[in-house]
Amino acid sequence: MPAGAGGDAVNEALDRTGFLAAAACLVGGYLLHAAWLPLPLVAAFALVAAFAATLVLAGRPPLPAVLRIAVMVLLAALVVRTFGNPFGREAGSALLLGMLAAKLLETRTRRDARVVLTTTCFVALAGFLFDQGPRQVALAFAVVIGLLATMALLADPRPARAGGLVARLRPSARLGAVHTLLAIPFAIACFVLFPRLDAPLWGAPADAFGGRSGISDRMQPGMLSSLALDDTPVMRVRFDGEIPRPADRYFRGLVFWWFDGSTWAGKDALSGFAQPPILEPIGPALDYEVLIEPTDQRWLFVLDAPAEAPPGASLTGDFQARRPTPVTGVMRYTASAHLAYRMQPDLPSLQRRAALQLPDGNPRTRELASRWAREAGGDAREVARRALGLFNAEFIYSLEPPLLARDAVDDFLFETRTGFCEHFASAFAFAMRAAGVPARVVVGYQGGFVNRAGGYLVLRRADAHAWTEIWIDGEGWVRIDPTAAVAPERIADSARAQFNLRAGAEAPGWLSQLRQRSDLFGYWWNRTLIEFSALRQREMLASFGAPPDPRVLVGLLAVVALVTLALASWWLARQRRTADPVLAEWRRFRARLARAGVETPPQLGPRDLSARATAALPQFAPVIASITAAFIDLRYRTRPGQHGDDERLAELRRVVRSFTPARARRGRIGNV
Amino acid sequence: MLAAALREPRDRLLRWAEGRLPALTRWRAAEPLPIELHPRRIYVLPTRFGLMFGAMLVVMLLGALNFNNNAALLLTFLLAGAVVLSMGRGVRMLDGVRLVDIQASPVPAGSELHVRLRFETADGRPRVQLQLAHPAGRLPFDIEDGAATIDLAVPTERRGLVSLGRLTLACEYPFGLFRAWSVLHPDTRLLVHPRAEARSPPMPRGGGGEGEARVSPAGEDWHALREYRHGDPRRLIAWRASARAERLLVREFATPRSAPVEIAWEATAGLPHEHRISRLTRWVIDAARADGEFTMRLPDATFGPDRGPAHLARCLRALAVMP
Repeated sequence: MPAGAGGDAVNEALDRTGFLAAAACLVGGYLLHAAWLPLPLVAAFALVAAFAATLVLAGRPPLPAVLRIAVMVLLAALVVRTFGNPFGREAGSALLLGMLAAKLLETRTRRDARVVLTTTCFVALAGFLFDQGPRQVALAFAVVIGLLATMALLADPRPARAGGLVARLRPSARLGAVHTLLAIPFAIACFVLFPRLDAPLWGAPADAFGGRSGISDRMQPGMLSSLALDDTPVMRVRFDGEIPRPADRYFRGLVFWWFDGSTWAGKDALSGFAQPPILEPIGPALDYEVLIEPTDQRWLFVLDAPAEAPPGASLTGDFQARRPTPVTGVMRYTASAHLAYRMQPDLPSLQRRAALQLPDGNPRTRELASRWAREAGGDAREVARRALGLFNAEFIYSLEPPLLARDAVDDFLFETRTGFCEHFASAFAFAMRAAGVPARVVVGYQGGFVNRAGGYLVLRRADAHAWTEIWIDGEGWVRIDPTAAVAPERIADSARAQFNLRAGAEAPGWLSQLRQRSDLFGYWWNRTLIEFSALRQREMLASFGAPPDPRVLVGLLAVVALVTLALASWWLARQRRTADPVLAEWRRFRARLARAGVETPPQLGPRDLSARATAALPQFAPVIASITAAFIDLRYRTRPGQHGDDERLAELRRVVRSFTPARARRGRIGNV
Repeated sequence: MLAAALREPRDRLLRWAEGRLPALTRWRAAEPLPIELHPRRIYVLPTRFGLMFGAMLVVMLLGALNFNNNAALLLTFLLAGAVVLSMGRGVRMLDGVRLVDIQASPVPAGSELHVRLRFETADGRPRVQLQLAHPAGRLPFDIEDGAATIDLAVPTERRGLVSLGRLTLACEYPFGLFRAWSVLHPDTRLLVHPRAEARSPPMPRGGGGEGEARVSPAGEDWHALREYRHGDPRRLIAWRASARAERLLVREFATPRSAPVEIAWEATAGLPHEHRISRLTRWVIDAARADGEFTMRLPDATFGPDRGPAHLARCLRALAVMP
């Protein structure tokens, strides 16, 4: 008989409990998307699902097919309207969620419910495209238990037994939980040993990995200040040796050369004068390892000044570490830096021209800059000192700077005099260029705080920073941070501390410790779980001395997976629990009799057993009689769900558990 | 719809194959009780739901590998692990289950035979969510404490010793992803009596008597008590009973007719074969109901003269198994 012969059973009508359990799993799947799903969509899906549940609970037939299709089309239209197209990660997931909500409208049979459950698995998977954090994983774990429990509930062919909802759900929930827990070793074995792909099989949609906020490839006023309160970790850095002072912790990301009066850019323009990076180190190199969160960008952040490019990346002439592919997952890389250096002592004319390029406008700044140039007599350092002196004297470092007029630099330098690091960097570079000093803007991360529990440095989005480099004859590119002139504390601490907002490392002791621990957990999570890749897999094999061959992996996987499954199956097989609590107590009673030396052959009925037990243990006669009476009453009297049974069962349980003939016998022997 | 349309020809084909080609269907040849299930005769295949779920797991695996999304990969492997673990559990449920007894009280052909099957397990392990499938229906049951009895209502068509046919004991525990099953084909034969003719002519009287037992005080078999009528012999008065009833009662004795009822195969000559059996059945039942002694003569055997339920059963059985 083919296995499909169970087909007609699969179509059996779904009872309310089954429907509600399947719907609850779906809600769990929705929760995995709660963080990003736009509110109007949440409301629409919830409305449809709630309506479907109302119909089922009221025992009403499903909506006519025309209406169901109309609901589906409406939901799809809503999704497309929200995202502009039906493709991509967000729109695709939203469509899936919407179709599932509509599916509930026609879920009336076990097969329908099973379709919902199967699709919910995929919903959970899609949730990880948005977030792979510990909380999300824990929630998905709960959803898996719920899915399996509902599957167990649906598979149970027995008619619903007397008893409440909880009594009905408990065995199924137990099955789901036990199988999920026992599958963990298998899952970990597969996770570690299943051969990974080095490159994707097919192209993912452009946004499959999420548009994450952070530093982007151009700098507009407000870009960095919008991040100033964002505590999300960006990268964690572990140094080989001492962690550098805050003032040395400049992680270089992008270098901007082109300014149009409001925005700094630099990406494409540089291709014209590709140059090897020239660095004359002063002092030893500092090695470190970075664990970076996904940025979806093609550059890495390296400590100034990078001695060489991290593996897989290359250094441009202005020391940006570029990658051919975006960082779409948590990634680990190693690099080394020289804290003291001379960068590019000779400046080719093409680059010099680029570093002096200026847009029209801002006449007052130009006038001031040319005055500085005259006074300094061509000494670039002197020009810079004057500019910094101006900042130091009269400027205010603020998270919410006023909007700037058309001549933004003039407005900032002479009117508002209030700004965030990008305003200072922009205005400073403009002024330097106007004074004839080659200058460029660098953005990246600066500062961070040290997690003492983990011994590493955490950089958060709030640590995003912009500074400048000017080129001085004989010294090369020199870093000048105009923000340091205005708010030296910003460099020493962090923007957050500077504004006295949501202190992190600076909070009271216990809170700070807790935060450090939780960040340590996040670091560990990313290092061991999220960042695991084909590369790490090969490293792991190599550390055991095995050749990095997929066949070795498959062989190992087969062995380990079989062992984990065998152990789990053994564990399942040794479970001899019975679902009937009355029977369980009776078995316990028999076991205790057996331990006390009373033979209890299985064919003996309760009354005969009781007689035999009384004969063997006369001192326990009343207890034995009461246990037997309660057992016979609870098991053989047919009275489904009668009131008072629970109390009787509790009493039986109490009496059986206090029945310890073996101990009493031992005690007696001991006394003799 | 289609499945229902196909089931009928399929069953007919199986029945035909069973009758004609025992060699081809020997894997489910009838076997004597008790039938004990062991892993070698338990089959496992994914259900349709299992196939769908497996396909989804493959899709999830490819997606997770492609996006190199480790959390998604872990989720996929966790689900896959639970699925694989669930595969053997149905087998464990069936393993060691024994069909030890099949009983049914005979019924006339055309009515439902209430078959009582008794399953036992040697170990104390509870078995749950078993499903007994028979063309007559599906019955879910558990074996909680070593034994379970299942009542199956089997429709009957023909008289005779019918075999129960193939029973499928299946289990989709725990998640309905896999179906473990084994085919039981017990050789037990259950008796189905012939159908009694609905309107039959009265049975012929052997010896030409009026067919009722004559009541006579001289008889030996005690029959009943009745009111005292004037002239009844005094020794027949049941004194104790009379004292209780506060009126005189006498014992009455029935003497069977000297020429008992005789139901003979030849009496139905001229009718079709099955019709004759059906008519004899009617007469036998009527005779037994009249509580008289009767004799049944078949071409190759004679039953009686005798009376009582055992005699009736013997007669009906003989009629049932007539060629």
